[in-house]
Amino acid sequence: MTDEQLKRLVLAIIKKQTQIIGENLALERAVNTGLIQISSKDARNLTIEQIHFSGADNEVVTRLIESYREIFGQASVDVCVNILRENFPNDFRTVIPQTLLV
Amino acid sequence: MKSLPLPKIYIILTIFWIIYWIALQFFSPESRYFYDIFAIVLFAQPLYGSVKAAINSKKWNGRKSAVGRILILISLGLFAWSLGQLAYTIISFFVEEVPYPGLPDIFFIFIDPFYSFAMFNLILVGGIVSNIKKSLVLNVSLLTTTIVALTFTTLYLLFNDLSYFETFDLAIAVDLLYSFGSIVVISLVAINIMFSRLGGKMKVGLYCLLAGFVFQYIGDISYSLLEPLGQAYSASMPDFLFYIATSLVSLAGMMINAELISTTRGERE
Repeated sequence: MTDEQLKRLVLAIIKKQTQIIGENLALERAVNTGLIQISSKDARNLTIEQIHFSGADNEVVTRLIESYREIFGQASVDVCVNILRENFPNDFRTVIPQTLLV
Repeated sequence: MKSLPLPKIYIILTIFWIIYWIALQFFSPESRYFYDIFAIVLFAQPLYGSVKAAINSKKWNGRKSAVGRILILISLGLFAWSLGQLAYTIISFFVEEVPYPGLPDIFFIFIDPFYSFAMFNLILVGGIVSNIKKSLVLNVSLLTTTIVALTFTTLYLLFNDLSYFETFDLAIAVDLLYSFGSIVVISLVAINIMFSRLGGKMKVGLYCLLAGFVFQYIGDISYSLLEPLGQAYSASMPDFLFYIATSLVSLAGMMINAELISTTRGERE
């Protein structure tokens, strides 16, 4: 996964969660993974340039999804996996651990 | 994963009123006063739940998020219930039999649409559409069978005597409207239970919501069956079922609280 793909993916997950749990909680959860820094507080206008990572690709995505899983369980994971599926139709299973794909 | 703290005082109060209702059935006091107290609780407690749900919706960015909209809609549903119950209680002070359809129905009729839209939003939360697509034919068949079964069961329970429709009037039209609303809500509840994998810290709150809607459905059916027999008086079985339903929905409105899972506060849990 390239940096650009990772940023696009993380952005898509955060924006989807914004529609579900609201902007405040979606951004707060992303930042509290400790691996994502966001320099904007407006999820609607969030851009790739405003997201910075400090971890391996899979770790960033996994921690982000797990942080949302705490709220609605596997239902939150399903929503994120759907975004993965849209972005990586053929190999989305390689992006996150199998434990999240139960 | 730890679940969230329960609103203990609210639950203790609810248990108290459940015991009160059981005592009413057991002792059958002659004074109407004891039954009217329960009718007032049936108005006041959902009103409190409505206010709490509306306050909590703001913490989920209100109508901008699916969860915020769910809370707004259950708040409106509980508010409609409270107004209907208030109107019913006041009218019953003055007349022996509350006219049907009447003023309370102007409020009650809105409950099912509000609850239906809440369930639609819960479908978004659970990513149900994608889950259905995974085994499209099987899941659509299962879904169709469930909805058809629920529709026929409801209609059979309520309208098994076709002579009922011989003189079609406003009361029958309102009956049909209520039945249609009940079928839509219970079908959406079934879809959510069957195809979403709700869990996490909000699990208990969400299951309270779904259970509340199920009790509302059972209450609606029992009211429709017992009312023609003159057994749907104040604090009767349908009222008890409605009390359980509104208490569970109110409890959900309190427990689906973003502030409690916010990480800035969450560390204290």
